[in-house]
Amino acid sequence: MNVFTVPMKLLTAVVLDEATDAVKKTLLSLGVLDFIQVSHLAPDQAYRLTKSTEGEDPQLHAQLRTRVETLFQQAGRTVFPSEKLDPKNSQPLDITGAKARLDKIGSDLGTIREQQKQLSQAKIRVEELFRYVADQKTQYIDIRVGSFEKEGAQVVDSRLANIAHVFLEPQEWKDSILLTLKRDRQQVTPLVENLRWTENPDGKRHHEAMMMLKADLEKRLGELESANNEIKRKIVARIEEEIDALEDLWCDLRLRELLGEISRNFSHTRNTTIFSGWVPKSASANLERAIRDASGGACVIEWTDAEQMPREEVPVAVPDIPLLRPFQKLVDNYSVPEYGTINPTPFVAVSYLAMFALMFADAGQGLAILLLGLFGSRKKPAFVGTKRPMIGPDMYRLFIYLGASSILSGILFGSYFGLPLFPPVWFDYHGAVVGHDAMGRNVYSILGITIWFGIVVIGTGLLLNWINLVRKRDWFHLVMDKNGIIGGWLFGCGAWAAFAFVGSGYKTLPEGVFLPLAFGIPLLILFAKVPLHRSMARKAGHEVEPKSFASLVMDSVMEWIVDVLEIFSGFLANTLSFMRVAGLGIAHVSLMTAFMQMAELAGGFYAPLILVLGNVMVIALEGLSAGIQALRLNYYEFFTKYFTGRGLSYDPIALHPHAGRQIR
Amino acid sequence: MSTSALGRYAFINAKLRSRIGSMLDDRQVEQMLQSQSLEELLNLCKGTPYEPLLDLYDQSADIQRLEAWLFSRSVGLHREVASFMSGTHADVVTAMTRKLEVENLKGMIRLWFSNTVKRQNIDYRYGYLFQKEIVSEIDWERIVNAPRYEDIVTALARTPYGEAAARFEGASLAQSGLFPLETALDRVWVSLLWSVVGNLPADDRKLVKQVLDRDADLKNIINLVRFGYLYDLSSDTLRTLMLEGGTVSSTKEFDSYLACPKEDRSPQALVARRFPDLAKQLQEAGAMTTERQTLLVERYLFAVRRKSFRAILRGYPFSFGVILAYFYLEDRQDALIRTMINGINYGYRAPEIREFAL
Repeated sequence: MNVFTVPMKLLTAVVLDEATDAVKKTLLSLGVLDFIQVSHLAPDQAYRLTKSTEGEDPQLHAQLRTRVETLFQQAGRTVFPSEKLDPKNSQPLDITGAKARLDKIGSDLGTIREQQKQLSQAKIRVEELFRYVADQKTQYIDIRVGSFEKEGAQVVDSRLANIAHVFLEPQEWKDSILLTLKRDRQQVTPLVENLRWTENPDGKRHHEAMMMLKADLEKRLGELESANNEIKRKIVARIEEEIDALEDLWCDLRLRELLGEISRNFSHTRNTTIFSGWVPKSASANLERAIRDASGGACVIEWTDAEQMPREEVPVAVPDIPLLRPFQKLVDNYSVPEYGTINPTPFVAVSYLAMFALMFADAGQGLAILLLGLFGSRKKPAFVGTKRPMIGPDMYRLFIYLGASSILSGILFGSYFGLPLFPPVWFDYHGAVVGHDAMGRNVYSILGITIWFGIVVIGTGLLLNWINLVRKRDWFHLVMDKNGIIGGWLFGCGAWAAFAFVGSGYKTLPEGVFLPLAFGIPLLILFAKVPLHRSMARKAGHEVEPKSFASLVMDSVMEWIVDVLEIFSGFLANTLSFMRVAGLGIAHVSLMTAFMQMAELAGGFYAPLILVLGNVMVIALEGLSAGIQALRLNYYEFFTKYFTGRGLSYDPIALHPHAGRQIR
Repeated sequence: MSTSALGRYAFINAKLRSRIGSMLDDRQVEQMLQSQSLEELLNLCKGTPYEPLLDLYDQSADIQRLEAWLFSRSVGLHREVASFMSGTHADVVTAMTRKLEVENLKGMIRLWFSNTVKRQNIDYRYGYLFQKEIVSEIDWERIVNAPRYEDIVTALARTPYGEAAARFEGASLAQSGLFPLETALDRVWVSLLWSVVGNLPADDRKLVKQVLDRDADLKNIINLVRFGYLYDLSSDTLRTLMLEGGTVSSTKEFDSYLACPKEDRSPQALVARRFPDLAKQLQEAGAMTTERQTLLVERYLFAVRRKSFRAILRGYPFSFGVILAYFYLEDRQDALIRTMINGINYGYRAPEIREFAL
């Protein structure tokens, strides 16, 4: 397994103009080239090159594509058909036709939406009437029971069309029922009088009418809901009717956009096209062959090794290790490593799991997390159109790892859902915290273990940094930086002296000349940091600001003070920061102990209930807390030692959207 | 600053700032402005606090429902912030919430007026207004269904608006329109707010007073220019429009503005001392139409307001300022969304919507 970033090569190719289109399509199909402008490589020749002036407006393509995507989304599709993208099938695009098609669909949908809006307004009317009838708020409604001289329901409904009303002609009644709002009386009364309404004087009928109205309004609400659902189906159906054409259009537009993007990276001479870009070394032979095939051999291809280019200009890809994907996300979330340096992912995997395991050492609870992870991983991906789940597949996979690490540490410390069901393999963590016999261990032993753990993590970080610096041939920082050899040496000596001091019962430091020399010599060397840096910069041909001797001494003293403070306080704080691992572990035990005691006090039926609830709470809260703290320790105490995050992400132009940086 | 202020504002400051941090950024707004259709705009609301609008539109295709949702969201945010505070501080937030209550009340009375006085069909429009309790217990149904204005007065009798409403009569409103009643209701909530602000601790009181004074001045200037210059209202009417607070209404420029014949009123002279930059801009604008000048004044004053809230947000974090700034930003963002929804629905293009919205 390569622990460094993926080696890259720089391609520069010249092809004849007539082969440009074929080459563009090939480059897009392969999707491995992260373009750079040729003028950037040879600025002195830039004036001889012209940029591509292909006519189509890229914004127009993007706008039309967004319109198509909005239609997809209205039809409940959130995943676009990128698998259908095939540059070989790329046809000339009829923009006017595409616009007309989209306008037509938009106009049809507008008509349907207008119907939906009217339904929505009708619903508001019916809801208000229903509320008054159901709550018997008769002060706001007029209920008429009687009959019109000659008009039937249709005429009445049409005359009252713009007024909230219900007109019923119950089959078993001779009379009709008319429900209106009192506030509309001024409009309703003349209409009703015109139609010659005769009111039935039997007051009892009003009560029955109220019941019938309530049932009818309820039915109307249901019908409106169904009608609205029907409208939504119509919208989907209208889009689905043209879904194939829309998918084709989306593909054409997307291809145009991507090919246009490639074109914008091309430069031209009178008869040739020149382009350049980065590609993983492993894909370079395949790419060269494909360009030669596409151009019928009429091309010139040159390769430049990444080592010959400034490191900060080389894009960074990391190997895709399927097992470590959840940890890759943690790294991506932080930043991009520099080209040619160590890929932090495998190291994060180990340190993150170890930290979590120390903070959450319980085999039973670990099993619960593991099962949650397994269950989540087996879940099918969310249906298209639904919201993205808060916990994705990578997170569930992380749960599996975290659960497994907790099981392992739980077995080491003999904790199973907070109970000592089996003897510990290493020592009794619970016993050490609560003061029982724990093979001579106590809280201080736990703190000591985590401090050692911190020293190992920080030491590993420093070692990785030295490897990175050697690979970067940055000898100055390798020696003089606070995370370089001098910093590391002082850290090691500090740790040794501190343990010796604690070992003496907090009384004395190690005697003899070793300690003063071990601290003194590196500190003296550090004093030379500023002049050395200036001298190296001058040798490398960089411009160095002229300074007087006094000013140089002043700069050196200031830099020295800052470095010394940073080294001593920084490493001390970094190391002590790992005590949170013990803190979380102790809190975990204390919480479980508290729940045990509560269960004992409650007894009977409540005891198991308290234990179950206690475990659930601890898994949720402590699990989250341990996960966050482990992440924090990795980001702030481990990454800061070797991970500069100054890398440039590898981002090829490809058919399928992907992170780009992970290379299979 | 006492530790109690730290204790009081630590949580709310963190909470509101995190919400401010998740508000729409310039890139998102620009992308939204470029939307070709309402559906596209609402799709872009995914992952923002306005995501529910998408579902609401999908269910109803009714932009008035979207606006109603925006209003109810605003009420919810005010009530939530009030619930995070206690004592006088909660009272001040509640008093600020009354602004929304008054807006809703005005909307209800307008519906009633359309239906009862103008004999227009208000049909489903009541459904777009907020019908739950905001601050006071108001029977909204009773107001919108009131047969006479006096019934509205009775419905409001046990609320702070009862007294102001009782000063009017149905017959006089039918003659003059609702404008006097609406301004009277505005003055009620402003007055209620001033009455509780006085109980705040000194630092908060000073800050809130500054903001209210400035807002009163800005609103009063806008009213003087809009109604006294653009619509030629009489001096007496203008005087009744003035909101409590601020210094504008006690200056000699104010008196001479009102004393002038309507045709001689000059916005430039009114703002010359307080906002010399604005006066200069008005002078440079020269032969602008009255409408353009009014718009210029409003834009300038809104920019002043925006700037001062930004300054509050950059200042000491543990004060009432964070709440004021939060409400301002939420309000502005809601207005922006509302403008975009309407603009895009009616076929306006990005530059025109931008001119209205920003």
